[in-house]
Amino acid sequence: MLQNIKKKARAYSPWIFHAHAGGCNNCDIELAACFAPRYDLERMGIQLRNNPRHADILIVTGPVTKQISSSLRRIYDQVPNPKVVVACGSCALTGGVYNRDDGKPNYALAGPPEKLIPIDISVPGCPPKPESIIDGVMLALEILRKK
Amino acid sequence: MKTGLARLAKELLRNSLRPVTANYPAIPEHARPHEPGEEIRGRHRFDVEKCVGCGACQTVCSSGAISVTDSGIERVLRIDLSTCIFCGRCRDICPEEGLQLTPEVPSAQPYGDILKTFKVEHSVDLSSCVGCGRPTYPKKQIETVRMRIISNLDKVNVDSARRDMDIYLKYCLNCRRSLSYIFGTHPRKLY
Repeated sequence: MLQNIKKKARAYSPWIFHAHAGGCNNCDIELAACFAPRYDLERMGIQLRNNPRHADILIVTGPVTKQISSSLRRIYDQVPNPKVVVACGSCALTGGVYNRDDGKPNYALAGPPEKLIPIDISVPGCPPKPESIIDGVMLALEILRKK
Repeated sequence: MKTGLARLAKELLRNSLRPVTANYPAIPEHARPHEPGEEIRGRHRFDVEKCVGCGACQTVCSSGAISVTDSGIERVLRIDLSTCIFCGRCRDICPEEGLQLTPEVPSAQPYGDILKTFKVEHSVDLSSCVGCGRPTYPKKQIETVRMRIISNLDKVNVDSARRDMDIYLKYCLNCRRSLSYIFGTHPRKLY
Protein backbone atom coordinates (compact mmCIF):
# COMPACT_ATOMS: atom_id res chain seq x y z
CA MET A 1 0.00 0.00 0.00
CA LEU A 2 2.61 2.48 1.13
CA GLN A 3 4.91 1.20 -1.59
CA ASN A 4 2.29 1.93 -4.24
CA ILE A 5 1.79 5.47 -3.03
CA LYS A 6 5.53 6.00 -2.99
CA LYS A 7 5.83 4.65 -6.51
CA LYS A 8 3.11 6.93 -7.82
CA ALA A 9 4.55 9.97 -6.08
CA ARG A 10 7.99 9.26 -7.41
CA ALA A 11 6.80 9.13 -11.02
CA TYR A 12 5.10 12.52 -10.56
CA SER A 13 8.18 14.27 -9.27
CA PRO A 14 11.44 12.58 -10.24
CA TRP A 15 14.64 14.44 -9.48
CA ILE A 16 17.59 14.46 -11.82
CA PHE A 17 21.29 14.36 -11.10
CA HIS A 18 23.51 15.41 -13.97
CA ALA A 19 26.90 13.69 -14.11
CA HIS A 20 29.35 15.34 -16.49
CA ALA A 21 31.99 12.75 -17.39
CA GLY A 22 34.38 14.55 -19.73
CA GLY A 23 33.41 15.70 -23.21
CA CYS A 24 32.98 19.13 -24.75
CA ASN A 25 30.24 20.54 -22.48
CA ASN A 26 27.75 20.92 -25.34
CA CYS A 27 25.26 18.35 -24.01
CA ASP A 28 25.36 20.13 -20.66
CA ILE A 29 24.36 23.40 -22.29
CA GLU A 30 21.44 21.68 -24.02
CA LEU A 31 20.47 20.07 -20.73
CA ALA A 32 20.47 23.50 -19.10
CA ALA A 33 18.22 24.68 -21.95
CA CYS A 34 15.73 21.95 -21.00
CA PHE A 35 15.20 23.64 -17.64
CA ALA A 36 14.91 27.14 -19.13
CA PRO A 37 11.44 28.61 -19.83
CA ARG A 38 11.23 27.41 -23.44
CA TYR A 39 11.29 23.65 -22.73
CA ASP A 40 10.44 24.01 -19.03
CA LEU A 41 10.94 20.54 -17.52
CA GLU A 42 10.20 21.75 -14.01
CA ARG A 43 6.50 22.13 -14.75
CA MET A 44 6.35 18.32 -14.75
CA GLY A 45 7.81 18.22 -11.26
CA ILE A 46 11.26 17.33 -12.56
CA GLN A 47 14.08 19.10 -10.77
CA LEU A 48 17.82 19.25 -11.24
CA ARG A 49 19.50 18.42 -7.92
CA ASN A 50 23.09 18.83 -6.82
CA ASN A 51 23.21 15.66 -4.76
CA PRO A 52 23.04 12.13 -6.17
CA ARG A 53 21.48 10.90 -2.92
CA HIS A 54 18.36 12.93 -3.71
CA ALA A 55 18.05 11.82 -7.30
CA ASP A 56 15.92 9.23 -9.13
CA ILE A 57 17.30 9.75 -12.62
CA LEU A 58 21.00 9.97 -13.45
CA ILE A 59 21.88 11.72 -16.70
CA VAL A 60 25.40 10.96 -17.94
CA THR A 61 27.02 13.14 -20.60
CA GLY A 62 30.38 12.74 -22.25
CA PRO A 63 32.78 9.83 -22.78
CA VAL A 64 34.09 8.72 -19.40
CA THR A 65 37.65 9.91 -18.87
CA LYS A 66 39.99 7.82 -16.75
CA GLN A 67 40.15 10.54 -14.10
CA ILE A 68 36.40 10.55 -13.51
CA SER A 69 35.63 6.85 -13.96
CA SER A 70 35.86 6.00 -10.24
CA SER A 71 33.76 9.03 -9.30
CA LEU A 72 31.06 8.06 -11.80
CA ARG A 73 30.85 4.58 -10.34
CA ARG A 74 30.56 6.10 -6.87
CA ILE A 75 27.86 8.52 -7.98
CA TYR A 76 25.90 5.64 -9.47
CA ASP A 77 26.14 3.72 -6.18
CA GLN A 78 24.98 6.76 -4.24
CA VAL A 79 21.75 7.16 -6.21
CA PRO A 80 19.06 5.34 -4.19
CA ASN A 81 17.05 2.49 -5.73
CA PRO A 82 15.01 2.48 -7.91
CA LYS A 83 17.13 4.46 -10.36
CA VAL A 84 17.24 5.06 -14.09
CA VAL A 85 20.34 6.01 -16.05
CA VAL A 86 20.07 8.12 -19.20
CA ALA A 87 23.08 8.33 -21.53
CA CYS A 88 22.85 11.70 -23.26
CA GLY A 89 24.73 12.42 -26.48
CA SER A 90 26.91 10.52 -28.95
CA CYS A 91 29.91 10.44 -26.61
CA ALA A 92 27.96 8.82 -23.81
CA LEU A 93 26.62 6.17 -26.20
CA THR A 94 29.71 5.04 -28.12
CA GLY A 95 32.52 7.51 -27.53
CA GLY A 96 31.66 9.65 -30.57
CA VAL A 97 34.50 11.83 -31.84
CA TYR A 98 36.77 10.70 -29.01
CA ASN A 99 37.11 7.26 -30.61
CA ARG A 100 40.27 6.66 -32.56
CA ASP A 101 40.04 6.00 -36.28
CA ASP A 102 42.10 2.79 -36.13
CA GLY A 103 39.84 1.17 -33.54
CA LYS A 104 42.38 1.11 -30.72
CA PRO A 105 41.23 2.42 -27.32
CA ASN A 106 41.85 6.07 -26.57
CA TYR A 107 44.53 6.48 -23.87
CA ALA A 108 42.50 9.03 -21.92
CA LEU A 109 39.16 7.24 -21.87
CA ALA A 110 37.78 4.51 -19.65
CA GLY A 111 35.36 3.71 -22.46
CA PRO A 112 31.75 4.79 -22.87
CA PRO A 113 29.73 4.77 -19.58
CA GLU A 114 28.21 1.45 -20.68
CA LYS A 115 31.40 -0.26 -19.46
CA LEU A 116 31.05 1.07 -15.90
CA ILE A 117 27.33 1.35 -15.15
CA PRO A 118 24.16 -0.19 -16.60
CA ILE A 119 22.32 2.20 -18.92
CA ASP A 120 18.55 2.23 -19.54
CA ILE A 121 17.87 5.05 -22.00
CA SER A 122 19.95 6.42 -24.87
CA VAL A 123 19.58 9.91 -26.35
CA PRO A 124 21.47 10.28 -29.67
CA GLY A 125 22.74 13.48 -31.27
CA CYS A 126 25.74 15.73 -30.94
CA PRO A 127 24.43 17.62 -29.08
CA PRO A 128 20.94 16.12 -28.69
CA LYS A 129 18.11 18.58 -29.20
CA PRO A 130 16.21 19.55 -26.04
CA GLU A 131 13.15 17.77 -27.46
CA SER A 132 15.15 14.53 -27.62
CA ILE A 133 16.35 14.96 -24.04
CA ILE A 134 12.78 15.53 -22.85
CA ASP A 135 11.74 12.38 -24.73
CA GLY A 136 14.52 10.50 -22.96
CA VAL A 137 13.40 11.71 -19.54
CA MET A 138 9.81 10.75 -20.35
CA LEU A 139 10.96 7.23 -21.31
CA ALA A 140 12.89 7.10 -18.04
CA LEU A 141 9.67 7.95 -16.18
CA GLU A 142 7.95 4.96 -17.77
CA ILE A 143 10.71 2.69 -16.54
CA LEU A 144 10.51 4.30 -13.10
CA ARG A 145 6.77 3.55 -12.96
CA LYS A 146 7.38 -0.13 -13.63
CA LYS A 147 10.21 -0.52 -11.11
CA MET B 1 18.59 53.40 -20.93
CA LYS B 2 15.12 54.66 -21.66
CA THR B 3 14.73 52.62 -24.79
CA GLY B 4 16.06 49.55 -23.01
CA LEU B 5 13.47 49.89 -20.24
CA ALA B 6 10.74 50.47 -22.78
CA ARG B 7 11.77 47.33 -24.67
CA LEU B 8 11.81 45.37 -21.42
CA ALA B 9 8.33 46.60 -20.49
CA LYS B 10 7.06 45.68 -23.96
CA GLU B 11 8.58 42.20 -23.66
CA LEU B 12 7.08 41.72 -20.18
CA LEU B 13 3.66 42.82 -21.39
CA ARG B 14 3.79 40.46 -24.36
CA ASN B 15 4.96 37.53 -22.24
CA SER B 16 2.22 38.10 -19.66
CA LEU B 17 -0.44 37.97 -22.38
CA ARG B 18 0.55 34.68 -24.03
CA PRO B 19 2.32 31.55 -22.79
CA VAL B 20 5.92 31.11 -23.91
CA THR B 21 6.63 27.55 -22.79
CA ALA B 22 6.17 24.81 -25.38
CA ASN B 23 3.75 22.08 -24.38
CA TYR B 24 4.72 18.45 -24.21
CA PRO B 25 3.78 16.48 -26.25
CA ALA B 26 0.94 18.49 -27.81
CA ILE B 27 2.06 21.83 -29.20
CA PRO B 28 -0.51 24.59 -29.77
CA GLU B 29 -0.03 27.16 -32.52
CA HIS B 30 1.16 30.06 -30.38
CA ALA B 31 3.97 28.17 -28.62
CA ARG B 32 5.32 25.97 -31.37
CA PRO B 33 9.09 25.55 -31.35
CA HIS B 34 10.87 26.86 -34.40
CA GLU B 35 10.23 24.85 -37.55
CA PRO B 36 13.19 22.71 -38.58
CA GLY B 37 14.62 24.55 -41.55
CA GLU B 38 16.71 23.22 -44.40
CA GLU B 39 19.87 23.62 -42.36
CA ILE B 40 18.76 21.25 -39.60
CA ARG B 41 20.92 18.14 -39.92
CA GLY B 42 19.26 14.93 -38.77
CA ARG B 43 18.95 11.31 -39.88
CA HIS B 44 20.75 10.45 -43.13
CA ARG B 45 19.04 9.27 -46.29
CA PHE B 46 20.76 7.56 -49.21
CA ASP B 47 19.34 8.36 -52.63
CA VAL B 48 19.03 4.85 -54.06
CA GLU B 49 19.33 6.02 -57.67
CA LYS B 50 22.14 8.53 -57.24
CA CYS B 51 24.45 6.80 -54.75
CA VAL B 52 27.24 4.90 -56.54
CA GLY B 53 28.86 3.44 -53.42
CA CYS B 54 32.29 5.00 -53.92
CA GLY B 55 32.85 5.33 -50.15
CA ALA B 56 33.95 8.97 -50.19
CA CYS B 57 31.70 9.63 -47.20
CA GLN B 58 33.65 7.13 -45.14
CA THR B 59 36.99 8.82 -45.79
CA VAL B 60 35.87 12.21 -44.43
CA CYS B 61 33.69 11.02 -41.53
CA SER B 62 35.04 12.84 -38.48
CA SER B 63 33.77 10.43 -35.84
CA GLY B 64 34.21 7.18 -37.76
CA ALA B 65 30.48 6.52 -37.88
CA ILE B 66 30.40 5.41 -41.53
CA SER B 67 31.69 1.94 -42.38
CA VAL B 68 32.09 0.34 -45.80
CA THR B 69 32.12 -3.47 -45.90
CA ASP B 70 32.55 -5.54 -49.05
CA SER B 71 31.02 -8.98 -48.84
CA GLY B 72 31.37 -10.91 -52.10
CA ILE B 73 28.65 -9.52 -54.34
CA GLU B 74 27.56 -6.38 -52.55
CA ARG B 75 29.03 -3.41 -50.73
CA VAL B 76 27.20 -2.21 -47.62
CA LEU B 77 27.47 1.41 -46.46
CA ARG B 78 26.41 1.66 -42.84
CA ILE B 79 26.02 4.85 -40.79
CA ASP B 80 25.94 4.41 -37.02
CA LEU B 81 23.74 7.26 -35.74
CA SER B 82 24.81 6.74 -32.15
CA THR B 83 28.39 7.69 -33.07
CA CYS B 84 27.52 10.28 -35.73
CA ILE B 85 27.88 13.96 -34.80
CA PHE B 86 25.76 15.23 -37.75
CA CYS B 87 28.48 17.55 -39.08
CA GLY B 88 27.37 17.07 -42.70
CA ARG B 89 30.84 16.52 -44.20
CA CYS B 90 29.67 13.28 -45.86
CA ARG B 91 26.92 15.20 -47.62
CA ASP B 92 29.36 17.91 -48.74
CA ILE B 93 31.95 15.49 -50.14
CA CYS B 94 29.47 13.24 -51.99
CA PRO B 95 30.27 13.65 -55.72
CA GLU B 96 26.88 12.37 -56.85
CA GLU B 97 24.75 14.19 -54.23
CA GLY B 98 23.45 10.77 -53.26
CA LEU B 99 23.54 11.36 -49.50
CA GLN B 100 21.20 13.82 -47.82
CA LEU B 101 20.62 14.82 -44.20
CA THR B 102 16.89 15.01 -43.48
CA PRO B 103 15.48 17.37 -40.83
CA GLU B 104 14.18 14.34 -38.91
CA VAL B 105 16.16 14.22 -35.66
CA PRO B 106 16.61 10.75 -34.11
CA SER B 107 14.72 10.56 -30.84
CA ALA B 108 15.48 8.84 -27.54
CA GLN B 109 15.25 5.04 -27.31
CA PRO B 110 15.66 2.33 -24.70
CA TYR B 111 19.33 1.41 -24.62
CA GLY B 112 18.89 -2.17 -25.86
CA ASP B 113 17.44 -1.00 -29.18
CA ILE B 114 20.41 1.19 -29.96
CA LEU B 115 22.16 -1.09 -32.43
CA LYS B 116 18.94 -2.08 -34.20
CA THR B 117 17.37 1.31 -34.82
CA PHE B 118 20.12 3.89 -34.78
CA LYS B 119 21.62 3.13 -38.15
CA VAL B 120 21.11 3.85 -41.84
CA GLU B 121 22.09 1.21 -44.38
CA HIS B 122 22.49 1.15 -48.13
CA SER B 123 23.88 -1.61 -50.32
CA VAL B 124 25.16 -1.51 -53.90
CA ASP B 125 26.09 -4.33 -56.26
CA LEU B 126 29.78 -5.07 -56.77
CA SER B 127 31.22 -6.24 -60.06
CA SER B 128 33.89 -8.92 -60.01
CA CYS B 129 37.22 -9.05 -61.82
CA VAL B 130 37.20 -11.07 -65.04
CA GLY B 131 40.78 -12.21 -64.45
CA CYS B 132 40.91 -13.34 -60.81
CA GLY B 133 37.24 -13.32 -59.79
CA ARG B 134 37.68 -11.04 -56.79
CA PRO B 135 35.12 -8.24 -56.19
CA THR B 136 36.36 -4.91 -57.53
CA TYR B 137 34.18 -1.80 -57.58
CA PRO B 138 30.45 -1.06 -57.53
CA LYS B 139 28.87 -1.45 -60.97
CA LYS B 140 27.31 2.00 -60.79
CA GLN B 141 30.62 3.64 -59.92
CA ILE B 142 32.30 2.07 -62.95
CA GLU B 143 29.54 3.34 -65.24
CA THR B 144 29.73 6.86 -63.77
CA VAL B 145 33.52 6.97 -64.07
CA ARG B 146 33.30 5.92 -67.72
CA MET B 147 30.68 8.54 -68.51
CA ARG B 148 32.56 11.28 -66.70
CA ILE B 149 35.95 10.55 -68.28
CA ILE B 150 34.47 10.46 -71.78
CA SER B 151 32.52 13.69 -71.31
CA ASN B 152 35.57 15.54 -69.96
CA LEU B 153 38.09 14.42 -72.61
CA ASP B 154 38.99 16.17 -75.86
CA LYS B 155 37.36 14.72 -78.95
CA VAL B 156 40.72 13.50 -80.26
CA ASN B 157 41.28 11.18 -77.32
CA VAL B 158 37.74 9.90 -76.81
CA ASP B 159 37.98 6.87 -79.10
CA SER B 160 41.26 5.54 -77.70
CA ALA B 161 40.13 6.16 -74.11
CA ARG B 162 36.89 4.31 -74.71
CA ARG B 163 38.77 1.39 -76.27
CA ASP B 164 41.12 1.22 -73.26
CA MET B 165 38.31 1.51 -70.73
CA ASP B 166 36.32 -1.27 -72.38
CA ILE B 167 39.20 -3.58 -71.54
CA TYR B 168 40.60 -2.49 -68.21
CA LEU B 169 37.40 -1.56 -66.32
CA LYS B 170 36.57 -5.27 -66.23
CA TYR B 171 39.69 -6.09 -64.18
CA CYS B 172 40.84 -5.38 -60.65
CA LEU B 173 43.87 -3.19 -59.93
CA ASN B 174 46.35 -6.07 -59.60
CA CYS B 175 45.24 -7.70 -62.84
CA ARG B 176 45.39 -4.38 -64.68
CA ARG B 177 48.95 -3.90 -63.53
CA SER B 178 50.18 -7.37 -64.40
CA LEU B 179 48.33 -7.67 -67.72
CA SER B 180 48.70 -4.14 -69.04
CA TYR B 181 51.38 -5.06 -71.64
CA ILE B 182 49.22 -7.88 -72.98
CA PHE B 183 46.15 -5.65 -73.32
CA GLY B 184 48.09 -2.77 -74.76
CA THR B 185 46.69 -0.36 -72.18
CA HIS B 186 49.95 0.58 -70.50
CA PRO B 187 50.05 4.36 -69.99
CA ARG B 188 53.36 4.78 -71.84
CA LYS B 189 52.34 2.58 -74.77
CA LEU B 190 55.94 1.77 -75.70
CA TYR B 191 55.33 -1.90 -76.35
